[in-house]
Amino acid sequence: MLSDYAPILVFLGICVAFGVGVQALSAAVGPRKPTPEKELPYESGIVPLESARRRFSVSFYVTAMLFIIFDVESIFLFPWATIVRDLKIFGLVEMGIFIATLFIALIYVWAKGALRWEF
Amino acid sequence: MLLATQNLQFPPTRDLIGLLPELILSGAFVILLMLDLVTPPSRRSLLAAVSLVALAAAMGAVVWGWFDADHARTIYAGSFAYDRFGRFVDGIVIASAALTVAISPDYLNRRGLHFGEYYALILAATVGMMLLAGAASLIVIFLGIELLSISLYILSGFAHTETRSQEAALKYLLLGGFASGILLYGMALIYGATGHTQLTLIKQSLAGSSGTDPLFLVGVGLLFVGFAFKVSAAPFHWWTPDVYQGAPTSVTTFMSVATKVAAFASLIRVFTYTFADSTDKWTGIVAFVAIISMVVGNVAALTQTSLKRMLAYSGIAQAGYILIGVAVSPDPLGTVGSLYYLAAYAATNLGAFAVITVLAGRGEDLDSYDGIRGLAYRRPYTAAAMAFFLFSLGGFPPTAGFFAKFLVFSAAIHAHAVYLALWGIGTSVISIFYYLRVGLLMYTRPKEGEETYPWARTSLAGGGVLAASAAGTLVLGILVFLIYTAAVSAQHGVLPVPQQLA
Amino acid sequence: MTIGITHLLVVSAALFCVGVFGLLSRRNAIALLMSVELMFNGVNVALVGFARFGYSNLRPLSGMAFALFVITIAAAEVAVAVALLLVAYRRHQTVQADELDELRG
Repeated sequence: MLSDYAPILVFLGICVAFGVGVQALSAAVGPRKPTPEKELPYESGIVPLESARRRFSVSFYVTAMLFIIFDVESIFLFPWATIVRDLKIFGLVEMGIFIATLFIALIYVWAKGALRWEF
Repeated sequence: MLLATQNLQFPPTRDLIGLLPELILSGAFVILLMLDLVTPPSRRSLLAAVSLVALAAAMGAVVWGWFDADHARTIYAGSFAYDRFGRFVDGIVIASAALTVAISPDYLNRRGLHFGEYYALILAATVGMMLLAGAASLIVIFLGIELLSISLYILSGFAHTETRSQEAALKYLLLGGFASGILLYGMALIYGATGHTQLTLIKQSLAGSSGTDPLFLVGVGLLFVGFAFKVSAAPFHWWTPDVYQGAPTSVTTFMSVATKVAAFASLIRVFTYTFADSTDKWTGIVAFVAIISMVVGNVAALTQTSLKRMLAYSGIAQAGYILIGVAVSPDPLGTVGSLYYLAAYAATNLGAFAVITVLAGRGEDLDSYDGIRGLAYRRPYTAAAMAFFLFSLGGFPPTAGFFAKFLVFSAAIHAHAVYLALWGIGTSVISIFYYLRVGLLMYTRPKEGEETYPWARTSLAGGGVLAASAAGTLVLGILVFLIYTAAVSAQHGVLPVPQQLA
Repeated sequence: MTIGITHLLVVSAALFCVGVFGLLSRRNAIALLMSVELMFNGVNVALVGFARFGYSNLRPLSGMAFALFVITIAAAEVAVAVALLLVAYRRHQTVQADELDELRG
């Protein structure tokens, strides 16, 4: 029993000790001599062509955010679909309510103008 | 597969009745979102009225449920407990939400933050807290915590033009996510060790084992750390002062009270009742955290010069006192003490934060100690109310705080944990200093020509809320038996025996 | 070698610890967010692992359902976080967590 899990506990312990230890060690003894080269982002040894912090249009974030939410909520449909026949009318109504709630959220997002590309 | 679908009937009346208050508020949430789209900005107080109606209806359902649920049972295949314990906590949470909504329109208007989503989010957080209070399954506990947390993350950042508010929201979100992760890992390990997510079944499964499975013990530890974070007990409290200070005060009012109440309810349900057979494994840690919280909270509060931070540290200390009731389990007196303390804390702390909310003017939030200097000479009633709340927080009779501390400490003595009572009394003495300091500042006469903070005029709603909180604090301090009997009744059957579960 | 619960738990613990490590060491708020996600997904591996390889008396469906809920909640949390970050970025032009330090005391 105990021996089954001992490796995991040891591993967890090592993980935590390593994480905290390295942080503490580098803060304590690490020399800090920043040079322009060191400050560059690491891109497989190639000198970066341009800053990676290029501005993306905010619209991307908003759209991606909305996509993720609606996309992920739909995973509830999959377990439901496997037993939809056994659930009969109960399952249909429940899922109807769930979809209706999502739909209301969509209306809200739409009416607030979050789906417009231009800001 | 393994699902016993034949047990499902339509409509699932029994289950729906058990969730009635939550359903009412969820419905109101959706309605509010839609109403917000068609309400002109100047009429947004209407949304507050709608939320109040919904909260009143939910309160009605809770009170009805209190009498209906004298035989505790679980619904939704053992995931949710329909019992008096849950209803008791629901009552506190809904009352806090209603009082917060009542003071909000004036405050939000003055701060220029009056948006319709505010009320919807408050209701969503309330639903999360009520789910948490009744949750009898690890999954529902997680859902409840996340529903309330995510709503509060947004509410903390509601002052979208203020750096502080943004910073508080981000800090809360990142640290809250961290705590949720730890909590979840604990849940996963407990699921792995016992094979179940329903608390009743976990308890059954534990009864047959020695409770020394390392998987289980690590899980319990992680779960406690997660909960300790949510109730802001030291040493997991760092986020509390920053978030309380940065969030708009009306949000702090709600979050400081209701979150703590709901999270403690779940903590008690899981630890005191589900892990009842292995109390010797974890009460030591709980007692340790309780002592640390009392010491850290009270000592740190001494040096504060910000009202919100002082109340935040005071809240950390109060979490320590409430944890005493958990640390003495399985003594049922501990649960009664904790429940009473939660009710008293809710009335008192809500009142104290409501004073700051009601007084906050147009510019900066009322926050520094200087802002309250000489209050008693301009706003005698408000100052008196604040003094009364501070007395209660300090634990003077005849206020709620006195009997709350009394019950918790006597539970500790009853359970032969005298050292906990001694730590509690010792730290309470420290707390008197900083409560008195604020009290004295209010009664310091301002010098000639000295400018005072431009306190807002107290509106009817604001005055009503202060009066209600003061009345609650007084009733809990004088008519002790009213709530004490309720708490004793709520403590029976916190974890219903499982019916033949599917 | 057959894959068993031990292997999955090691993976789960590793993911979780990477997340914790990231949270403690990173300063970019987006990276912090990713660390939280790693923690959540470490938990998911454990949940599904238990559901597949756990004891015989364990209920596999509970673990799987739990994992589904964790996935959806994590998505909701990320959405809120990104929204908050966007607002903060518009004001400060930075997402470095340590440059937001007005709250002290």
